[in-house]
Amino acid sequence: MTWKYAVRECRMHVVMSVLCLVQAVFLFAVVIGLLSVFMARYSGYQPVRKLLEQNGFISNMVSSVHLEGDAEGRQVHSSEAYEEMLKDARVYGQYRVHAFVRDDQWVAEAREEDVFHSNMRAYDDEWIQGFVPRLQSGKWLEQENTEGRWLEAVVLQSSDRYKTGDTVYLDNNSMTVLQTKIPIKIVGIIDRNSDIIYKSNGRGYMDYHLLFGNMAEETEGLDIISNTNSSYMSETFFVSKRNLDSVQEQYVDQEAEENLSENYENVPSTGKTIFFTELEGVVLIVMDRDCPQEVFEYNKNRIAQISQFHFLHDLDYIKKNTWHSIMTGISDIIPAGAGMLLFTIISFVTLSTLMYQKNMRKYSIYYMYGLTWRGIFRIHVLYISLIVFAALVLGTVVAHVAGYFGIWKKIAVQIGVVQMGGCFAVMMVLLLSASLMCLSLVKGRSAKEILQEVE
Amino acid sequence: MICLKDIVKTYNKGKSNAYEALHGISMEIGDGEMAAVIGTSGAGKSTLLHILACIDGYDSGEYTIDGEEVGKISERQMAQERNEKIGMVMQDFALVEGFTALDNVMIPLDFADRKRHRKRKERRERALEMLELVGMAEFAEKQTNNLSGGQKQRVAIAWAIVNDPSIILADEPTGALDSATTREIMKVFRDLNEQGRTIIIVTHDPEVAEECSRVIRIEDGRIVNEDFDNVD
Repeated sequence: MTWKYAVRECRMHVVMSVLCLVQAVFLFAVVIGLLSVFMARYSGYQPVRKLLEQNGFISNMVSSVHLEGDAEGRQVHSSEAYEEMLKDARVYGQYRVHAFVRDDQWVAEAREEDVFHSNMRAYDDEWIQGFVPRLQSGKWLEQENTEGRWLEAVVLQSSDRYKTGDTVYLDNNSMTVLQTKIPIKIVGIIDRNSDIIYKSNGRGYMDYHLLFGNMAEETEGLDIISNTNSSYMSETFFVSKRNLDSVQEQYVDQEAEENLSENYENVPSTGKTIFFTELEGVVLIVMDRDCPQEVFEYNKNRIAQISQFHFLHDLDYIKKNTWHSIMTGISDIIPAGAGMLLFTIISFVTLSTLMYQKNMRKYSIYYMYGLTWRGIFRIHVLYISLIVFAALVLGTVVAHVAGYFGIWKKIAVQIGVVQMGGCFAVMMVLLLSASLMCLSLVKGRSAKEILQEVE
Repeated sequence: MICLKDIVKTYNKGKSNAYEALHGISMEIGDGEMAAVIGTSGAGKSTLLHILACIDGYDSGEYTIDGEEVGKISERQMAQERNEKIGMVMQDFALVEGFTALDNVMIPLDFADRKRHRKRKERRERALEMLELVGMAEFAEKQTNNLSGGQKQRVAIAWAIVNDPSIILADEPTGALDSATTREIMKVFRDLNEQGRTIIIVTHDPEVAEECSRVIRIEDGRIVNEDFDNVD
C-alpha cells in the first residue's frame, strides 16, 4: 500500500519531483567526483598507511656497520642487530641476500670468472604483512610453516623465465660450492608494473611514494638502449627473512661439516649462516608515540653514524607531505563543495516541504479514512526516497559520462565503497532533513485542524 | 452504540484566544438511529461530529463506541476504528483531486487492516459495487475534478460506506447541492439507515433534519433540545 501511494505521488507531482531529482542528481555526481579524486590519491597510500603513520624514520639504506663490540666494522645483517644499536626502537628491515638463483651452466661460468650478482632479497614480517604488491599469478609471501626445508619466494622478472609452481635451487654468492641444494618454491609472480617496496625510486616525491620502486619504470630506458637488462633487475626473488633464517638453521650443520663441504670454514665464521644478509633498501625505524624527544634525536644521530643511506626522513614529515599531496586541490574546493551541499539540501528540503504542504489536504483525507500519521509519513518519506534513489542512480551515470567524455578532466570516476558511502551519507542527510521538516508541519495538530487550514 | 459523557473541547488552549467550543456534551445514539445535529453557525455541531469521527480530540469527558473508550485506545486502533467502523461524508466532499472516482473509493480499502487480505481485484470489484450502489458506476474512471457537486457527494458516500461501517457521519452533506440533488442524496442516506447503519448528519437545513428520526439541537456548545420522534 505504501509503495502504491508513494509511486502515485511521483506521478501526481511530476514537475516538483523532476526539480528535486535534478538537484539531487547534480549533488550526487559532484560527491562521486570529489570522492573519486580523493580515493584515486588515497588508494596508493591506504595500504601502507599503518606502516607510515608511526613515530620514527624512513631510510633508504645502502649499508650499515657495527661501530663497536666483537662485530666492529662488520656489516649489520639483521634488524635485531640494528635495534641493539638504538634505544627503544623497532626496525622493519629489508635485506640484500648474498645468494642467487640461476641454472647450473650460468653458476659454473660465474664461478670461473668470479663474477656474482645477488638476485635475492628478504623482508622482515612487517613488510610482508604491510604491503602486498599486485601479482601476475600465485600468492604473496606468508609466514607459514615450511618446516625449514624449503624457501618460498615470489619473483619479479623482466622475462617469463619462471612460473608459479616452479621449484628452483639456491646457490651461494661466493666461490664456495654448497653441500646441498636448497629448494625454493615459487609461490607467486609479481606484476611487472606493480609498485613494490624495494629500492625506492621515489620519483622525486617527498611523500609515501618514497617507499616504492617500480620495475617497469626502472627498466624502461634499459629495454630501449640494450637487449640485456641490468643483471640484478632481470629477476629478483623475494623471500621472508624468517623463512630464510629457519632454512639456514636446517642446512647449516651439514654445510659446516668438514670434508663434505667447501663451505665448512665460512659457515661458523658468519655465526652459522650460510647466506650473508645485509640491511639494504627501504627500512623503517619506529618508536612509541610517547617516546621522549631525546631518544628520538639520539636514534636519528645514531642512524646517521652507523649507516649510509640515500635519504633519512622523519615519518611525521612524510605523513604530513602525503596528506598534503592527497588533499591538494580537494581542500581548495571543499568550502565550495560544502556550500553547494548546503544549498542543495536547503532547496531540496524546501521543495519537499512544499510538496508535503501541498499534500496536506490529501494526507488529512488519508488520515480520516484510516491511516495513522506514521503511515502517511511513511508514504511521503518513501516518495522522497524514490526521488533520492533515482537521483543516486542517475548521478552515478552522469558522473561516469562526465568522466568518459572528458568533461571532468583528470578525474577517474570510480564507484567504490567510499563513493557509495559518501552518497549514502548525503542521502541520509537529505531524507532526514526533509522528514524532520515534514514532521514539524504535523506535530501537535489534529487532522481536522490541518484540513480546515488547507481549505 | 455511541455514548458521550461530559465532553469538553477547548480550542487554542492555554492561549489568549482560547475558547470552549463544547461545554460538557452528553448523549447516546443507539445502533440504527438516524440523527440530525442542528444549530447555528459556530454552535459546535461540526466540532462534535469531528470528535465522533475520531479526527479531533477532546479535553475531558468520555466517548465510547460499542463500549470501547476512544480516549484510551492507541493511535493505530483509532485509525482502524476510523477505517472500519466510521464512514465520513464532508460538505466539501473531501475527495482526492487527481484521482479517479474509483481510485478515491478504493482508498479506505487499501488502508484497511491487512488481516482482510483482499486482493487488488477484489478491492476494485468492491469499490465498483459501491459506486453502482450510489449510481456512479459509469463515472468510475472519471477524475473527481470533472464531476458535478452531486456526483462528487455520491462518490464521497460510496467512499464512506465501502468498508461497510456501522456508523456514517455526514457534515453538511447537502450544503453545496441543489434541492433536487439534496433529495437524491438523502434517499441514499435513508436507504443506508434502513440497512441498519447509524447515521448522524450535521446540518442547518430543516428539510434534511426532517428526514431524520431524531434531531439534536446545539447552541453555544450545549445540547439545548432533543426531539426523539421527529418522523412519523
